[in-house]
Amino acid sequence: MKKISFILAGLVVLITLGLWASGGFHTGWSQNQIPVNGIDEITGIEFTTYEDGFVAGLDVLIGGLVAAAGIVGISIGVSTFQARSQANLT
Amino acid sequence: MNKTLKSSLLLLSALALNSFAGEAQSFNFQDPKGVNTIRFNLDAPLETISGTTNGVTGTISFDKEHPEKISGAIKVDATSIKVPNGTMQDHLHSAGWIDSGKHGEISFMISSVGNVKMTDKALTADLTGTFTLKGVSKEITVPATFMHLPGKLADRSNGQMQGDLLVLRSKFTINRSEFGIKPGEATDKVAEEVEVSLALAGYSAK
Repeated sequence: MKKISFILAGLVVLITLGLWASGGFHTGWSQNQIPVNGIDEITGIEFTTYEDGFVAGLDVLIGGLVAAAGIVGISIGVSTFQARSQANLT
Repeated sequence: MNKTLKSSLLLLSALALNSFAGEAQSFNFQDPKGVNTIRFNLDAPLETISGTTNGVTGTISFDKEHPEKISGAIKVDATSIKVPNGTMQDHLHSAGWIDSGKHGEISFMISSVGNVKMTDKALTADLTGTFTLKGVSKEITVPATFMHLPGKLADRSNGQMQGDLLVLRSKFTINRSEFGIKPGEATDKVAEEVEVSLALAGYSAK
């Protein structure tokens, strides 16, 4: 049980880091509209358009790490509770 | 013969006078290409918020011979303001923040022009006018650069329109508290100072 929880927590951390890395380690909030900058060739003005997509931000990173820590914490808590229950029974 | 010569001379004189006096041209900033963009940035200790708007309209009357007479207004459809995060966007447009449903227009109306400087390619000036945001109007002065591009409208419209372009650039800062946007609240996440930068192309068709 404990081992499975640790593997699950590790997977959550890996997926979270992978998601964050795929978005270029974006340090702001996650984006669901990605700004794309361009330059108008006649006037030289810079403009921004938006594309649908997803860029994971710090909220995803922190959420993933907290979730992994939660899984580990619950697993340790349950194991400790079970160990104490068994000790009390014997 | 003498009469014809006299008339021709009069016509030439009138044309010459007209060209010296110059004429104000009205430039429309509702960009047919749809790329006119105003950017804003709020840099708070905990969060940086950047966004754009391309719902720009307005007209500016520009006379390169008399730049001190520049007049007009730039208007922005407040509902067109965009940030890359959907939740943040909903908050931004809500009644507590810019309340775009009730106050759908942000505008700057030029009242006077000062500190005009002409260079080879551009004209710089300080524009004083009324800036209106969330229904609150304040007089502000912003630095601006104008670049007149004669005959360039055809290039930008693939030959569909003939005329001139006027590129307007400016960077200035406003304080959200002065416009009743949550004064003094959440300053760790949403900066009080809003840096605005704009690069807009206006056209004057002939």
